Order: sequence, then structure tokens, then C-alpha cells
Amino acid sequence: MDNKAFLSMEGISKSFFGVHVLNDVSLSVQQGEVHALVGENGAGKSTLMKILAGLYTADEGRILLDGSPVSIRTPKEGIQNGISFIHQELSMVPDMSIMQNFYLGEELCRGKVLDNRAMWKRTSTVLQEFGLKLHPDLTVDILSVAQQQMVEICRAISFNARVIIMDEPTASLSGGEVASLFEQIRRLKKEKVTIIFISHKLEELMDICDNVTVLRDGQLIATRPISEITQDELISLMVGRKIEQMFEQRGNSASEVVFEARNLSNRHLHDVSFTLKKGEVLGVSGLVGAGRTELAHAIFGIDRLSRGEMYLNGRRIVHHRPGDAIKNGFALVPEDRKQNGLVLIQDVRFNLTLCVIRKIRSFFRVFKKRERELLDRYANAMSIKMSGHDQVCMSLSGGNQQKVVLSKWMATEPAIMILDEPTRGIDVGAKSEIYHIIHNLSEAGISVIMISSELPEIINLSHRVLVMHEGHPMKIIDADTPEFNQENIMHYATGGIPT
Amino acid sequence: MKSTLSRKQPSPFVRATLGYFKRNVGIMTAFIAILLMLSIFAPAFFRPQNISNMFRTLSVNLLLAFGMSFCLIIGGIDLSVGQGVAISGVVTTLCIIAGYDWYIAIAFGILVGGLIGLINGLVIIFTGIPPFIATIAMQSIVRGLAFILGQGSSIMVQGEDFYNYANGNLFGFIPIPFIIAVAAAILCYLLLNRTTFGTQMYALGGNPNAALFSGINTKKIQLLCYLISGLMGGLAGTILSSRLMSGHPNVAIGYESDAIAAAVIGGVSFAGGRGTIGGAILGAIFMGVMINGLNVWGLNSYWQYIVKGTVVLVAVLIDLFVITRRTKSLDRVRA
Repeated sequence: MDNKAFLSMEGISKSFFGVHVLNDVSLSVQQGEVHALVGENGAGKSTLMKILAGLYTADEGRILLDGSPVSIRTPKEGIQNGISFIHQELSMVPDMSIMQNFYLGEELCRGKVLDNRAMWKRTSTVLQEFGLKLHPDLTVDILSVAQQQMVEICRAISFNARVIIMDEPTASLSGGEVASLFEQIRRLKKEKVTIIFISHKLEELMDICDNVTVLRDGQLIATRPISEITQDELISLMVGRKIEQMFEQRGNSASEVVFEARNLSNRHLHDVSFTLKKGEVLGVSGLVGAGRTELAHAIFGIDRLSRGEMYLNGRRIVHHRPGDAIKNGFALVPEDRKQNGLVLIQDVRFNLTLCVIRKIRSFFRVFKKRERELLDRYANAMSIKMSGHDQVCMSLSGGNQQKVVLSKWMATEPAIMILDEPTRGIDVGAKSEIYHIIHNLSEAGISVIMISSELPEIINLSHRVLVMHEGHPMKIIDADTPEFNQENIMHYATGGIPT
Repeated sequence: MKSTLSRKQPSPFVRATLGYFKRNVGIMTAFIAILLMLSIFAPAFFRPQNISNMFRTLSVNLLLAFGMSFCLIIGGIDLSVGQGVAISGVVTTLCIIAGYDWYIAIAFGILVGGLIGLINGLVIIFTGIPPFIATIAMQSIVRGLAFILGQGSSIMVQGEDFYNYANGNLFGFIPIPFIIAVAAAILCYLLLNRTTFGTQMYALGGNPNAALFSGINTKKIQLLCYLISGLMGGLAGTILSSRLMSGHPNVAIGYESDAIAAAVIGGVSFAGGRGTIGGAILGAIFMGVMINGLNVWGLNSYWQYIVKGTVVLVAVLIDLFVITRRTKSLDRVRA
């Protein structure tokens, strides 16, 4: 590999409405390199990549590919130059087949008629080359997120992509799937394909990347070989200050059992039993498809139970719908805050008071004072960064949206909080704040069921962890036992027994 | 982000009024333009008799626009309201023929409307058939029932009390139907803005999943909204039959599209989650003034259809333009 950069972006600046989003940022990447791009939300990573892919045009600066300047003003020109962008939210049409998605907008034709046979053959070949056992006629919506991602990567390759940009490709993948994605990335690397990898998961970067570039507030902070930097250094480069401690010392939970699940079963769950103590954080670990979210939904009354019982303080409870669960002091912070957590077109006030609306309205009266108290107590305590209570949630950052969802549920004064992937897609700074909140909840005697795909979270926050595999509870591991480590949890999660 | 919190806030009432004008600035401008044009080309429009008549006619449209707004805000639609109007009129007049007092007949008319709304709601929440399809099917069923009940022709009635119900005036100049519409408007406003039901409606329309996860009984909310829409249709039907002093199975054709037009012009979102009663009122009055003005002006009714359709297109375009501009700027800021 020679030292000349294959792709370089020089002095890129971009502003929206007079706000500098990128300020004189340069990036150079060599052929066959896996280059990490990191930074907090709003640092300008996505904007920079969108400029590279032709979704935006830069105000200043130029892009050189293989030593010669290129003009990329539209996505089409991006593709022609061999640049492919795999978005965080996948961009395939769910109801169409893999083959149709493969050739979307680029259909092969014989004359004016679609050449289905040629498209089918080519798709099938590419899938096989990648070792994907998928039929080209399958519709995309039945594929798992990981499979969809693989299909997108195949698609990029089959259109001769020389540079592939992956925006948080592992956000919705679990251990095994991440491993197979990385396997493919290493393969691509051998074939001299250049990869730019955006991720919040620093451990992964250490694993797969060659070099890392850090952006903060639209400025280039540093580019370093990944072997010469530690995670802690990386974090302090990203946030511009040293984060003292991500996790606090776990407190002791009481021994009093507040909730017990016995043999919970339905289509996705098989005899899941566990107890939850007062002030305890029970981690729930497992791969995608392990039934973790389904467990949360079943407890909360969103999904039906075919069998099994739940006891709250020894009393049998039945949740027909989420309303029943809320009455019993349960709260659920869902996995997908945009889909299930917030009414995005409404403001912070609306969302925060939605679950306790009965407290501030009755018989055509609105209790403004009580509303204000609630907003002050929960929104301000959570230090949500907003212009006011009337800011529309759509325009909040991911971390702040998550805090709105958390405070919305805190306002119901729950005894048991179920958190489903509470830190998904939010930046390091906000993450440590959320960890702090979880710690405080536990200290305040609120029991937490925390579903997470990030093992460091599970290891550092939980008192005990329930490991699930394909709907079966594999093992409950106590944090005080020597068995409590990432390797063992992974073993149980993949359905095996640790050796 | 701009700071709006630090600035001193005016009183809630002033703020609400200002907000109302700001939200509806487009339609208000168009409204003033129309009034100016009418004062030049059709001054007869402003005769008290005409104005009073216009509001009498308008009342029916207002009621339907309210019902429609409830359905649209939760992300649904009720295409069967026109048919509800027709069958309610038929039932009301049949009751009067059968010898019931006028007010009992009216109660029956309203109840029939409510029953249709209830069935719409039940079908939608228990079968999951999309509201558009469910209510379009109901449209045909109810129209058929109206013809069967009325045996295919109109039912003429007599009686001064029933005549005064929709043709009388309070203080000699305020049409009684208009008073009914105003009362309904106040009730709808309170429901939407001062009750948990209203908030939960906006949540359901804004994001049905989040509403479910927040413990909202989404089925109950949907059922109530279709019931309200049905009741409004029934009420409108009694007014129309009293105005005509007869029940026709084939009246009120296309009233649902007028109601949708009024709501949408007034800023009620077709995608759900957004909209106000104030907006719907403005939309309905705008449509009413326009049609009446064109009539007074002497434009033939065929052309009126074309004008009506064009206005709806333009109003929605403006709405879309405002929304896309807003979300685009958000996208860019967050990118």
C-alpha cells in the first residue's frame, strides 16, 4: 500500500442558515483502509459524509479521488464515482423483493422491457459470493435488519463501489451479526475497497478500523492510527473534556422482592421466570431475536400472554393493556423512541405530561400550576437541552429525546421501570448522563429492568443479569459471582454453555 | 436554538388569539380578499337577509366539519357523514308523520346518526379495516337504507314548531341553527383543548404507537371520535330536513367532501395529529361565504364546483409548502 491518499477531502466547509456545520475539515483515506469517523451527535459526521456522497454540496473545499479532483453534486454522481452510502435507516422498499431492491432505479432492460432473468442471475450470484443464503425473490420486509444490511452492502459492491460509507451499521445488530458484518468488511478490505465507518461503539472501532478521525462541533480534531489511541483518549477528544467516570459504583439493592414473573409464555417467549428486587437493576441480555423486547411488551400489556403469571408484591396482576400496567406502577421506555416513545410533532410539554394527563386536566379545566410543577420537576431535573417547554420534540437531539421519554415516565412515579435499549443511538456525553439517571433510580428504590445489547452497560449497571436465547431464559447471573463476565454472558446468549 | 422562554410572555388569552391569527394568516388574507371583491362586484351579498340565510345554510357544514375534524385529527376519516345527514332527515320526518312530537323526532334523527358513527367505529376498531374503506362501504349501506325507509321518495311534513327549529330566529335575526352550531363549536373546543380525551386524540393522531405505549386506550378514543362524527351528521340532518320541511333520501350528496375541504382549508392535517376547531370554523365559513358570494354574483353552479375544487387544491398546497419548508429546515439543522 503506498502512502498516497486514495480519497481526500480538503478544506470542506458547509453552513446551513449561517450556522457553520463544518469548518475547514479535511479527511484523507487510503485505498483498502477502514477509517473510523467519530464525534458526538451534531459534530458534523453525517454532513461530511453526505457531501462525499453528493447528498449535499460543500460551500468550500474539494474532493480528490485517486489523486484527481472530482465533482460530486448529486447522489447519482456519487454512485458514478464509486461512492456508496449505507444509511443508518435502511433505504430499501420493504414490500419489494431483494432483486427489485438491488436494481431499484438502475433496472436492467432489454429494449424497453425489464430483463428479469439477467437481474435475477446477477443478484443470485452476488448473494452467493457473499455467502448469503438468501433467495433473490424474498421480500425485504421478512429479512432481519442484519440481513438487510448485508443485502445493501452486496448491492453497493455489485455497482462497483470503491468507497463504502457505513453510518452506524451495527446500531441494530447483536454480537453474532456484528461478527459476520466484520468478516465481510475484512473481505472487502482485501479487495481494496475503502470503508468509512461511523459508529458510537468505540470498542468495535478498536476491533475493525485502521485509523480514526475525530470531529467536534464541525471542526477536525485529530486523525490517528487506532493502534496508538485508547478508548478513554478517544472519548476525551470527542467531548473536549475528560469524562470522569462513565459508571458509578453500584449500590446495594434490598432483598425484598417486588415483582415476580412465572413461566411467561407466548409466541415469542418460553417459560420466562424471574424475580425483581426493590431498587435492583436487572439486566436483560441476548442477541436480536432473543425475545427481550417481546418480554418487555408482554409484561407491559402490549402483547398477550398465552400462559404464565405475574405478581406484584405478592399480589397476582394481569395486564390487558398498557393502561393497566401504568396503574400498577410500571413504566416502559421503548427501544425505538421515535416510533413508540414520542409524539414527535408535539412539544416537550405535551409529551412529558401525556401519561399523567389526568392529573392536570379534569372536567374542562386545566391545572396550569400543577403542569408547570411537573415540567419543572422532571424536565429540569433531567437537564434536557431545549429552547423551552414548547420546543417540538422532532427538533431535539437523540439524547435529549431520550431524556424526554425518561422524564415522561418518571412523572408517573413508577415502582418498576423497564428500559429497552436506553442508550441506543445517543452520543457518549448523553450516555453517561443516562447511566447516572439509572443509578439514581436504583438508589431511590425504583426497580429497573434494563434491556441492552451493549455488554459494558449490562456489566457495569446490573445487579443481576437475565440472559435470553430465542425466547428461552438461559441463565440468571448474579453480579457478585465470578461467573459474571462478558464472555459467559455471550456464551449463554448464543445458546451455549460456557466451558 | 432561539430562546423563547426568556422573553416576557403576554397573557394567555392574547397569546392564544395572536396564535390563532398567525396560524391561519393565509386563509384570513384570502377571506378578506373575497369580502373586498364581493363588496365591489356583489354588494347584495351584504344584505342582512342574505347574511342570515348564509349562516343558516352554513350551520350544517359547520357541524359536519367539526365531526370530520375529530376523525382527521386521530388520523382517520369519516366518508359516511353525508349519508348520515340523509338518513337522519328521513327518520326525523318519518317520526313526525308517525305522530311524535317534533323534538322527539329530532332526538331520533340524531340517534340514528350516532348509531351509524358507532357502527363505523366498531367496525374500524375490531376489524382493523382502514377508516377510508370502512366508511365508504357504510356510505353505500346507509344511502340504501335511507331509500328503503323513505320508499324511494321524499317525505313531506308540516307543523310550525318543526319549521321554526331551523327557519326561526333568536331576537329576530340570529338563525337558530347557527346558535346550535356555535354551541357545538364551544363543546368541541372544550373537548379538544380542556380534556384528557382531546390530548389523547392528538397523541393518537400524532403517533399511534406512542399513544398505545403511553397507556392510552386507543380503541376507545377512535370509537368516540366516529360516534361524535355520526352525531354531528345526525344533528345536521335534522336541521336540513326542517329547512326543507321534508326528508329526502338523496340529499347531502358530496357533503363529506365539503366537510373535508373545510377542515383541511382550516389547517387540520390529513395525516393526523394536527388541527383545531377554530381552524375548521374558519374553513367552513370561508367555503360558505365563497359559495354564497358566487351565487349572489350570479356565477352558475357548474362553475362553482370548479372554483371550490381549485380553492381546496391551493389551500392544501400552501399547507404542504409550509410543512415541507419547516421540516426541511429541521433536517438541515440536525444533519
